[in-house]
Amino acid sequence: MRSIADMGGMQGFGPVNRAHDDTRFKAEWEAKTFAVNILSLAAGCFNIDESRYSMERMPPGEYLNTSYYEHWLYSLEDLLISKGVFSQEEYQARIAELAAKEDDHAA
Amino acid sequence: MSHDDHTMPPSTLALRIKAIETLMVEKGKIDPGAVTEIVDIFQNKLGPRIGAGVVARAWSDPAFKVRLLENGTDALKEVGVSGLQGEAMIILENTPEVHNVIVCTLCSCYPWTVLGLPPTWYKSAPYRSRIVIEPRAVLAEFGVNIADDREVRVYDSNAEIRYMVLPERPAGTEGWSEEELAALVTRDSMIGTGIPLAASTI
Repeated sequence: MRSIADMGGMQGFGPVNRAHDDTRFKAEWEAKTFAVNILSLAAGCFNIDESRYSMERMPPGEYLNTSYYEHWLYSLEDLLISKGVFSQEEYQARIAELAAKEDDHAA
Repeated sequence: MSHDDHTMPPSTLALRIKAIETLMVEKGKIDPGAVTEIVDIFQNKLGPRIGAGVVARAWSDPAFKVRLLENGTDALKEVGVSGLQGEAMIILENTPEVHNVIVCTLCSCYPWTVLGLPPTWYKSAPYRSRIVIEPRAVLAEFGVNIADDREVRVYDSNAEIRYMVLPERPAGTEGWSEEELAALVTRDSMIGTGIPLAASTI
């Protein structure tokens, strides 16, 4: 089956928006997602083909409705959990812990 | 499709990557501090000025140009350019007969070692989908009008190979230093969606 990521030759996406010329990260989470990806590759947690294939398997609707670095974040979660670097439970617990800390700061 | 559309609030995205980062550090997969270092390299140290220097060198030194076109990876190492996403570099020479342009239709592969990070439009669905079916129309939108009798070649990166375009040397630059020449080389001229600045611009 052709993946949504296989965009060459698809029609209907409209003109190229040249005004979107920025190369810099738009937010800290984008920069971190990029760097953690590079470092996970360097650490041998997965290889570049696995990384690309993971993004290609994103559900098409989700792929189109998420930003570029969200694709990277999706594949990081997918690969690190499926390869057992950490578990889904550990991950969810950590998110909850960090969120609670942020609420404390806000309170 | 907009790159600013998010299915979740940015704060959730920040929490997700922070959770991954802290777990990776705890498990010894990532050194603390490495994330900041990588961001600094890609945001501040790499960029198209590196590629511009390579192009200026090729325009000035015919023997270097031959080596660059024969084996891009090795010739770039000569000038101290190597690293991630630069392991297999192929340099595409523009000539009066051929204009080259690069894309990654599947994702966003880009020659980081010579150009740094790609602009947003390079990663966008419109560029990735259209440049392979109507390259002349897309190039015209970038202000690059290619004569009908000149061939356009579109190179689609794969997982390992990265391309960079060697644009044509502008007229009227005989005797210029490499530094002066490099100032004419734009990022887009090395992607193929632009041409170098004219000699009269500096």
